[in-house]
Amino acid sequence: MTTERTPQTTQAHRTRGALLRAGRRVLERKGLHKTRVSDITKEAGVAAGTFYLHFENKDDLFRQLLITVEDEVYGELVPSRSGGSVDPAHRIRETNLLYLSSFKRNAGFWKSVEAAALGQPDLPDVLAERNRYYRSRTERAIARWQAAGEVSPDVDPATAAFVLGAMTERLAYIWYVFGHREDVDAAADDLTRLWLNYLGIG
Amino acid sequence: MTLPPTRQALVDAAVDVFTEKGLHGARVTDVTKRAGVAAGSFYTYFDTKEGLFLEVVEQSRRGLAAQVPRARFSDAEGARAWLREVVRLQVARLAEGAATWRMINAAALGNVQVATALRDQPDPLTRTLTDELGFWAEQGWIDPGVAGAVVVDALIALTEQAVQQWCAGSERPDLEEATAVITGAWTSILRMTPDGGVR
Repeated sequence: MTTERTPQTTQAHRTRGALLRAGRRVLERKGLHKTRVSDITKEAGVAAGTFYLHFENKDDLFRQLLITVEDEVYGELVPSRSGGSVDPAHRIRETNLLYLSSFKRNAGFWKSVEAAALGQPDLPDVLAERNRYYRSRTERAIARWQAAGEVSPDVDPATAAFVLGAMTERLAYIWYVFGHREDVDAAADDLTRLWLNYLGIG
Repeated sequence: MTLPPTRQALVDAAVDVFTEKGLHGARVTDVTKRAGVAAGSFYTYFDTKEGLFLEVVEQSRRGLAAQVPRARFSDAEGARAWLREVVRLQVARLAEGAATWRMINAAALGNVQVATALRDQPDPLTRTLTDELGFWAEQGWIDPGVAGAVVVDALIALTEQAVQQWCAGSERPDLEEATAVITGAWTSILRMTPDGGVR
C-alpha cells in the first residue's frame, strides 16, 4: 500500500522531507479535506509533478505523516533492550509518557487529524489501519505478560488492547486538544494507574 | 397560547440540521425551514446559531442524565447494578447518536469559543458520576488510585471512543455485548471486584 518509489539520493531524500513538512503545515492550516497536492508543492517550493515521485497521492503523504509522528513514540520503544520481558508497569508507564509527550508536542497535528476523521467518512481507513497496527502491538505485549503470569488470566488481550487504546486516545484529546493539562508526568502516572487497574496489576 | 413550543421545535430541528451539515455549514434558515417556522422567529429565542447549538448539546446532556436513576446505595451490590445501567444507557445513547456525537466534536475542534463553552457547560452525567464515585470511595467499594475527576473523565472517554469506533466499523455494536465489555472495563478501572468488594 505504501509507495516504494522514493529515489535513494540525498537530494530526493531532502525533497521528500520538505514535502512532508510542507504537507503537515498545509494540513494543520486548511484541514485534510481542503488540502490539495498543489498547495503542498507550492508550500514546499517544488514543481507540481515532483510530488508523485515521492507519494502516490494526498492520502499516502498523510499516512507517511502519521507514521513519522507515531514513530516519535514507538521508535523509542522498538529495540528490545533486554531481549526478554520488561516489567509491565515500567513498560506501560514508559509508553504512556512517550505517547502523551508526543501527543502534546503534536497537538496541532492531532487536532487536524481528528477533524479530518470526524468530517470525512472515507478517511478513517488510513487511521483504522494505523490503529489496528498499534492495537495488535499492545495485544501481543499483554499476551506475553499474561503468559509470564504478570497479568490476570481473566483479561482478554484483544479486548484490553481495544478498551485501553480507546481510553488513551480520547484522554489525550481531552487533555491536550480540548484542554491544557500541563503536567505530562502526572498525566502519565494517572493513565498508567488506570491501565494497571484494568490489567489487575499492583 | 405559549411560545416555548416554537423554541423547542427549533432545537429539535437543529439536531438534524447540525448533524447533516455541521455547525459551520448549517444556516439559520435551514433550521427554521426544517422546523416549519418563520425565519424571523429564530431571533425571538436565540441570538446566534452557536447559541442554538449549545442548547442542543445541553438538552442532549440533560436528556441522558434524566434517564439515569438517582440513588444512594447501602451496599456495593446495588452500586454495581447502577453502574451497569449507567453504561447501558450511555452506550445506547452514543450508538444511536453517533453522527451527532461526531458533529459536536467536529464543531468543538473547528471553533475555540464553542469548545470553551462546551467545556464550561454543566454536564449532569459527569456530576452524578463524580458524586456517586466519591461516596463509593469513602465506603471502600472502589479504589481507583487516581483523583475522582480524572477517573470520571477516563470512564466517559473510554466509553465514547469505544462506541464511536464500534460504530465506524461495518457492524453495529450489539448493545448487550458492548455494555458487558464497557461495564467490565469500568469495574476493573475502579478496582471493584465482581462481588462488589475491592480487589
